[in-house]
Amino acid sequence: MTKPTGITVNRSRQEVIVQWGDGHTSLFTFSFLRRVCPCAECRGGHDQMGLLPGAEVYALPPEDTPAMRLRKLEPVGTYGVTIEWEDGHHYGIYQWQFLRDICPCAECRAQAEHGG
Amino acid sequence: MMERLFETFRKYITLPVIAGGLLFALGLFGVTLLLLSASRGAADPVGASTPLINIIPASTATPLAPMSPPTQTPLPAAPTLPPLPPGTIAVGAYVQVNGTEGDGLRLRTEANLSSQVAFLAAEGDVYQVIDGPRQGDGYTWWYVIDPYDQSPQGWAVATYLAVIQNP
Repeated sequence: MTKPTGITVNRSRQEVIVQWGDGHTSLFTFSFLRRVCPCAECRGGHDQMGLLPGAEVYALPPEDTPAMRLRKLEPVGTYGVTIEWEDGHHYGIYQWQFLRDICPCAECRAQAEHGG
Repeated sequence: MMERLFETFRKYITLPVIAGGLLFALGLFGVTLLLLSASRGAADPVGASTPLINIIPASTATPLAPMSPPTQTPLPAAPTLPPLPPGTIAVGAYVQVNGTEGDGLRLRTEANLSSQVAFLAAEGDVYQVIDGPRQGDGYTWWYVIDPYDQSPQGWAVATYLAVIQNP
């Protein structure tokens, strides 16, 4: 599994940019990351935590509300990051594999749609 | 007896022999260092286990100051949480079942004593905390999961969990 070599949180643009060890770059908007929060509360149960979000979430427009504003991003061990949002929510752990699997770039989406 | 033995070997202990021995030892040391550095590189091909996190603060609507000689200001520091005291349970921490005197710890489907037991964790088992804390029936509960086999998981009473370093 490829790991990130760098993560940039750009508050002005409300984006998180992840640079991966294999050279790929993923660009996530804050609102997208909040919508796909993998915690049990957001996903509707612990058995849903590992599941990938549906395709519809990629089409939703960015939103600027306290729930969608990133307050803090911190590493969790060596396997992921946790994000605290301005509404106080902070339960989600975004593991590297999960972040890579939800990469919204056209190349990754095409691969995901074709089962790649 | 010992003196004769010493006399026998004494003729072999010459300066070239000592120098050769030292060179051989240095060579072994160098090879060991090379092997160590090679094995570290293979274990962590990315170079660093934790990626560099860079926080770019949002721009503010502060009006431009009148022209003045430029001064260097320090960059705003990335916000960080104060480190948790050692032994504090938190999401992401690894914990070990401890103090059940061999009875094991019940991992439940909800954070209360009346919910179903999903799994009986054995004394000494290591889990990872992925959710919590919750309060229920007078206890603090954390949702733990087996980091190797994701199936054993559930809410556990904090009293019987001890924080350990990454296993």
